[in-house]
This record gives sequence, C-alpha cells and structure tokens, in this order.
Amino acid sequence: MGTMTRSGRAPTRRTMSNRTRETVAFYLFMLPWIVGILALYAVPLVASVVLSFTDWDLFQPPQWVGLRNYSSLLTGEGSNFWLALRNTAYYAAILVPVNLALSIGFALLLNKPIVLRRWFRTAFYLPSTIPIVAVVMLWSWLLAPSGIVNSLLGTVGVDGPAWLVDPARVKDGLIIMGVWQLGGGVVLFLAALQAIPRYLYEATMLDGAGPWRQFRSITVPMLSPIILFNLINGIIGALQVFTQVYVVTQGHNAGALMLVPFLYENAFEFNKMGYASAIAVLLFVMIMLLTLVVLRWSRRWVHYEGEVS
Amino acid sequence: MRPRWGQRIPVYVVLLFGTALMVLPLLWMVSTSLASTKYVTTFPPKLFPDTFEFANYGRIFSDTDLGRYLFNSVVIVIPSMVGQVVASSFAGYALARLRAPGRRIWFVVTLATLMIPYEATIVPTFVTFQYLGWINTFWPLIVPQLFGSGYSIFLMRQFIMQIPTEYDEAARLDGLGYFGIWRRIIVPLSVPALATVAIFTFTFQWGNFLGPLIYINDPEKYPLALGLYAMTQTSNVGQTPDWNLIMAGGMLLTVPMVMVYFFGQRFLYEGGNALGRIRV
Amino acid sequence: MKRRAALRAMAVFAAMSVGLGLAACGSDTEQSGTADQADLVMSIWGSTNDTKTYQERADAYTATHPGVKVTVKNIPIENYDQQVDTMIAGGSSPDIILVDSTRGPALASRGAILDLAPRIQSAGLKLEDTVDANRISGYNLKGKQFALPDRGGNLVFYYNKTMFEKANVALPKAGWTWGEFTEAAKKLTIVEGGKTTQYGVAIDNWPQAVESVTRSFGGTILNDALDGPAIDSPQFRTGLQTYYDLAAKLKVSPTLQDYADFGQNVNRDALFAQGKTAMIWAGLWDIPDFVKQGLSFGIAPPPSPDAANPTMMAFGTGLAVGSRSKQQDAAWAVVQYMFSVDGQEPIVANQQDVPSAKALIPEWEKALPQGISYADLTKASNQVFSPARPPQANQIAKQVEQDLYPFFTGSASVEEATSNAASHIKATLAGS
Repeated sequence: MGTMTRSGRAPTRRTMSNRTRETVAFYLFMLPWIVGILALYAVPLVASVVLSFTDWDLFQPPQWVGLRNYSSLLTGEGSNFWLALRNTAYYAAILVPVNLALSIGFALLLNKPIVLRRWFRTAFYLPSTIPIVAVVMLWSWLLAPSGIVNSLLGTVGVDGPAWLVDPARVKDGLIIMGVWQLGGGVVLFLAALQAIPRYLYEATMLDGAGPWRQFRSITVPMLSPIILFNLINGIIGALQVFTQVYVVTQGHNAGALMLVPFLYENAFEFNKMGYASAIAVLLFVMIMLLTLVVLRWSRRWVHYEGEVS
Repeated sequence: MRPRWGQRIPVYVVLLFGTALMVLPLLWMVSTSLASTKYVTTFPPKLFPDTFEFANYGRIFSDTDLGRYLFNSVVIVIPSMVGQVVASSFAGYALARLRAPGRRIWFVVTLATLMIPYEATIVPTFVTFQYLGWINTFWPLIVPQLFGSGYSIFLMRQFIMQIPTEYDEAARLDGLGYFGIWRRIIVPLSVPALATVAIFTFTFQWGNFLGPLIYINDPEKYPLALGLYAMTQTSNVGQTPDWNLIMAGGMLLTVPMVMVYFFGQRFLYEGGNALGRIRV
Repeated sequence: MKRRAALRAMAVFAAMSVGLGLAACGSDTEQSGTADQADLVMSIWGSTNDTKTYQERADAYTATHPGVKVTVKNIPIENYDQQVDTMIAGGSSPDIILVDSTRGPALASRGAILDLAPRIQSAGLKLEDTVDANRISGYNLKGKQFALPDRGGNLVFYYNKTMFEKANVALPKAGWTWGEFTEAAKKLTIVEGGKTTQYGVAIDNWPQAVESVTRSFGGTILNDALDGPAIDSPQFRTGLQTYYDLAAKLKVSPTLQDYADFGQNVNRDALFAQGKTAMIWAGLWDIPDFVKQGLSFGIAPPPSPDAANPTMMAFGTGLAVGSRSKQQDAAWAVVQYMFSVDGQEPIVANQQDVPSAKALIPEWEKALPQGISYADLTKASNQVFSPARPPQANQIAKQVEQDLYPFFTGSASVEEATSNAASHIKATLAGS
C-alpha cells in the first residue's frame, strides 16, 4: 500500500508516453522472473495436477485414470500415504516449534555485545554447513544404542532407545539432527534483531523498563513478522524433509517414511509418475491450507510497523 | 546498553555450551579426516587419532574423484549465483520502483511462489528437462537459478524500497534511463542485499543433494554432496568406506561454506540489512 | 499477504498455465553408429573389482573390434534403478545394462530393454550350449528373453575355520540340519563380561538371505501364480521367526540394534571380514575380499530344516540391451561376446563371481583360494532355487523390506509384519 501512495504522488508530471515507457521497462526487468514463474511454477504445477489423473511410467504414453491415483492413495488397501503423513506431521509438529524457540533464544544471546561475537555466530552456523553424509555418520555414532547420547541418558537413569534403528524412535533421532542444524533460522533472527531501531529500547529504558519488559514490549512485537516468516518457512521445510531421511534409512525403515521420500520412491524408483504427482498435489494443497491458516492466525499476533505489502 | 559482567556470565556459559555442541562434531570430522585408513575402522571413532596423516588431503585428489566433484560443484554454483543476483535485482528493482499495471499482482504471485514446494513441481519439471535432453547435464541445476527466486526477489524489493527515491530523481535529471539508474544507483546501493542473495544461493547450491540425485547419473558429473554420498555406498564387500577420505572430502564442502558465512556476516547483519525486513 | 490478493494471484496462475498448455512429450530412437563403430556405455553396480572385470571384458572385445569402445559406469546400488531409469528417460540410455532377476522384469515390462529373442534366433545362438537351462529362464518374462545370463552363483554359507577349530566344533557340510547349526552357533558365541565378543552367526534383514531361509522352511513371498502374496503363510512365518530368533532369543547373532553400535554401513559381511562372527549367509563374490583380509574360511550349503526344500537362492546377473540405445547392433555384439566362454574368462581370473558358462566352472573351482572347497556345494546343487518374478518385483522387494523391518527391530510380531506385507503386495499386484 505504501508503494502505491508513493508512486501515486506525482502522476501529473508524467506524460502518457513516459508512463508507457515505465510499463515497458517494468516488464523488461521482470522478464526473467516472469518466464521463471511460468516455466518453473505455474506450468509444472498445473501439469502435476493433470498428470495426477494419469497412469504413466515415462515409457508408454500416459493413460487417463481419473481419480484412481487419489482413491488408491487415500483409501486403497495398504496405502502408505497415511503412514507417511502421520510421520511427517509428527516430525514437523515437534521440530518446527522447538527450532523456532531455540533459534530466537540463541539469536538473542548472539546479538549481545560479547567478545568474539563473529566467531560465536559462525559456530552456530557450522552444523548447517556439514555435508549430509558426515552429519548422518556423526549422528549414527552419537545416537547408537550404546552411543554418547544414550550414555549421558544412562547417567540420569534413562534407558536410551536405538534411536535411528527402532521404527518407533527413528523420527525422534531425525528431529534431534534437525534441531542441531538450526543455524539458518538463527541467521534470520539475528538480522531481524539488528534491524530493530535502538531508539525504541532507549525510550523504554527512560521509562525504567527491565529487560523482560523490553523483550515483551519491543523485541517480540518487532520480531513478530520474522517469526511468522520463519514459522511458515519452517513448516514448509519440515513437510519437505528428504535428504536426512533418505541417507539415514535408505528407504528401508517405514518408521521414517515421510511424504517426500514416499513421493521420490514412487516417481523415481517405481516410475509411477501419475501416482507420485497425486502425492505432490496433496502435499501442495496441505501446505497451501496450512499457510493460509497460519497467516490468518498471525493477524492476532504479528505487529507490522507502518507499511509493507 | 552496557550490562555488567555479572549479567553476562550466564550468557557466556550458555553460548559456550552451545558452541561446544556445534563445534565438536566438526573437530571430530577434522580428526577423522586425518586418521590413517586402518584406524578409521575402529568404532566408535576417537577424537584424537594416534597419528596425523596430512597426506589424506593429497590422497583425496590422487586416489578419489573428489577433485572432479569439487570442480563440478564450482561449475554449478558460480553461474547460479550470478544468475540469481542479476535476475533478482532486476525484478526487485521493478517491483520496488517502477509503476506498471499488474505490478501488485506480480508481487503477490512472487510471494505465492514461496509456498509452492519444490516437490510439487518435480515430476513435470523432470519431464520437461528430459524432453530438452538435459538429463545428466548441469543445466537442470543451473537454469532454474537464472530466473531468480521468490525469496531473493522479495529480499531485493524490500531492500530497494528503503533506498531514497531522491537518488533516482537526481539520476534521471542527469539523463539516465531505467537501466542506467539500476546500474549506477540501485546496484551500488544494494550491495548488502545482493551479497545476501549470493550467500544464500551459494549455500543452497553447494549443499544441494536432491537435485543432483535426480538429474545427474554419471559419476563423473557428481557435485560434492552427491559424490561424497556415493563414496559411502560403492564400497567393496567387507570393507568399511574410507571414512578418513570421505571426511577430508567433507572439509572441501564445509570450509567454503563456513568462510562465506564468516566473511559475509557484515552483509547479512549490518546496517539496513535486507533480511531483517522480511515480511510475509 | 491479504487473502483477496492471494486468491487473485492464484487465479492468475491458473489462467496463465491453462493458456500455455502442457509441454508435449515424446521420444525418438534413431540409430547412429554401426556394429563396428560405436562408443558404448555399460551400466553396472558393485565393487571396484566388478568395474575392473567388466572393463577388462569390454576391452577384450575392443582388442578385436578397434572401432567399438565400451565405458563401464559403476552406479551405487542403492540408486541403480533410479539412475538407470533416469538415464533411459533422459535420452541417454546405457547401451548395455546389467540386470538381475528383480530389476530385469520391471525394465522389460516397460519396454526399456530389448526383447533379444529375435536377435538370438537370427544369430543362430543356442544359449543352452553355454549355460544351464534354468539360468536362461530367470531372464525371461512372458516369452521375452530380456537378457543373456552373465554371472552365476547363488547364496552360500561361509564359516570361519579358525573359530570352529578353536571351539572344537565340526565344520558345516552338505546336509547340515538346522538343529546342528544352532548348536554350533551357540558354542561359537563368546560372551565376556556381559558383552558378546564373538557371534556364532551374523544375520540381519538382507532380503536374499531372508528369502532363502524362509524358502528352506517352505515359505515363499508370492504364490506360484505370482498373482498374490504367500508371505503370510504359516511356513513363511515359522521360517522368519526361527531365523530372527537367532538374534532375539538365542542371542547368537547381533540384532539390528547391535549393528548400529558397530558403525554406519557395517553389515554381516564386514563382521565376518573383521573376525567378529563365525558364520554368515553371503554371496560368492565375497571370497576375494575375505582372502585379502587373511581369513581362514570355508563355504558350504546353508543349514536345512527340511531336506525337501531348497536353501540357496540363485543369484547372478544378466546383460541387457537398452531399447533406447542408439547403437543397439554394436551393444548386442558386445553382449554376445561377453556371454561367450572367452568373454566370461576374466570373471574367473579376477575371482569376481561364478561364471554362468558351464565350461568355465571347473576352472573356476580350481581358481578358488587354497583350502576352499566347492565340493559340498556341488553336491547340493539341487538346493538352488530361482524364484520367478512379476514385473512389480522391484516395488514388492522394497515394500517387503520396509514391512519386515519392524519385525527385525522387535517392534512388530511376525504376524503383524507379514500381514502388513501381504496387504501391500496385494495392492501392488492389483495396481498395474
């Protein structure tokens, strides 16, 4: 809205031809991205929907099968869809809030005027840079039945499980790995904290507000848009988890069967492109709905200063 | 704000504890990469090997294909970064500054693309690239980056919006066209945002696993992340993979990412940063 | 983002996409190159010794046909199917494709590999002259001969001689009963201070071993007509339960949880190689690696609960020609050469595996390392079985592995796991 008022400020000075020139320039600058939207999002998305009504193995021509892919996914005997959905939902429902809370916490600490701040910040980003095979190797050692994590649990009298083996616990193992790699979220929150104007704090300090009240009345509201952004990104990311699952289980442990690995094996191992497209469409619809719900809910707690979109 | 030391000690304790959790694995990776081949089969691995074999870092280039994987990764990442930076600053500039019918719609569409999971379009995209004969080439990994992405364009637009329009006006009076303004004013003033986009693109592409897994099937064309995975798989029966070489190769992947982040911090966080202004 | 705007955006999306329509899709196969002049790609999976051996065999062909060059590409086995499918779909099909009896039917039913029958006929090739008839049928789907047999061999049983002699236990031999085996396994298991330092046997959920052992108890995964599951039969369940009891009840084998403590990617073969187990079910291809480790070991038929049932699944690979290869004639010529006795020679020389060519078997036995006898296995050759597979074999194999996994980790009963697998198999077979 702000942009509209700004651009509407001086329309009289411009001639018709100037306006046309600006329009042309707009579309020229937008050209790569518009092509990208069409080629990478719009057309493939519609194509996914169309393919989801077919039976196609990449070799023979596609056969139109109507809603069969959906019915066998949702109600078919022995369909793994619900299992994959349950597993994914469990993974996301724990990982997203935990990561969000911890990222904010660590970002707050890393934003303080501490010595070696750059080094500390880099340390927290480190896990996000380690190649997945090394991450999995490392955690399969730490989370081994007699590994370090279980030894630590043992000292407080807890009998630790076989994290990455037991179908009932492998999701928890993956969540632990996911929490460890929270660096990306910390980056965003750090940036957002930097963007909070200092005068806001100085003003409340004059009012004699303590750190907790400052946190509640300034930091949280000022961070709220980025919390929303991270929340949505986190949900989308968690629902799309693939690489860790693939490398840890190599598809053999149904306890960690999640939606995208399920899609992957159907599309690229069993060549069931139509069936896989139906999974993709359902995944998309779910993400869309969840995002809309979160956006609607966010109106109650997100604070926008002035304009922006 | 100038808190006293007494208040800070807990902060340091928590941070040091966190740092240990984050850094120890890396130390272990380094030590494994320096272990001798015989030593690596002991499990669980020890943090400090008996001998340090620095020769492992030479061996990854002579005994394995990691040199080639590294080269492939570089070949994929550099055009991706350039493409993302140029395309997103183009679109960001247009969305922030130029008035045209449909601008608002395009902005909302840009935001909406953020919600489309990669996997929702994976099958048709795969089919399209197959139709173009691009399977087993780098094109399916590079070309999508040349159009920009919702995320980077959004970042650029938010950043450019806060550059005062007076600069544009002045440049226009000097006779600059839209492209000139973009090149002379917008680009130089949005370096932090451009750097942020470059860093994110680098991070994403450098570690990308699913893309190469689907599109690349010639081991000679594997990028690092996939090549390292393949090294854990094509082992001979009864042997454990050469974890020391794999970890040394892992360092090739990790070190550039850490350095990019370490030196890129000032762009990510300092004055007028773009990231902090993300709004949905 | 405001909802109205979001809706409008979606409308724009839809309009644009419909307007543009869908990219057409098709493919063409035009032949380029001749039988004498070609650059061929051959896809395989396996170890570095496998790569080396296939390359040697290919180079031997190049020596007499200088215009034809073959590049062997070793693809990680976990990704083999997916990668080969992508290569084919992507228009860069390997010209020669290594298959086995699980992968072959899927590729053949999709038309991704050629029916070689017409070429065999026009070349006047009599496959039975070179290999056993039952090896040929394994690469046949509804009358289509989709591959020529390449490597032979079957599942066998390895034992560590040193450990047996130390424990003073008689060595395994043909006709070994399941009871004798478990007694030996108990004696060979060494527990020190509550920790098992040596296992009698190392089992896990390796599908080929699972299928062989359950078969020796009379159970099969699919029914004889291949149109329904048999995995929930009492025979299969008894076999599976008895097999897993080695780890869970008798504790003479590591459980999957125990494996996780040995390190990532450490399996039964690795345990045998490291001298931590006295016995394993494994393929013959392990021999060179175990020799390299300096082990003193022998091979024998696996223990049998019922002499009437087979115990050893036939392994082996076949060579197929990609139907989207642009150099099919040259590829077929190379496959034909690799199938010949001369062409199989390096399999023996490199101790890669058992050759499928009958004429090479004596030579192969002779080439076995000192102290390893094939005699007991020759005696038990009637215990080899080669299960017929439907086109969905691939998907069923993976599904069964997933469904049995909870059983192998102790979180599902044998009834639950097999019933679950049965319903999945039913759905898969009905699906296409």
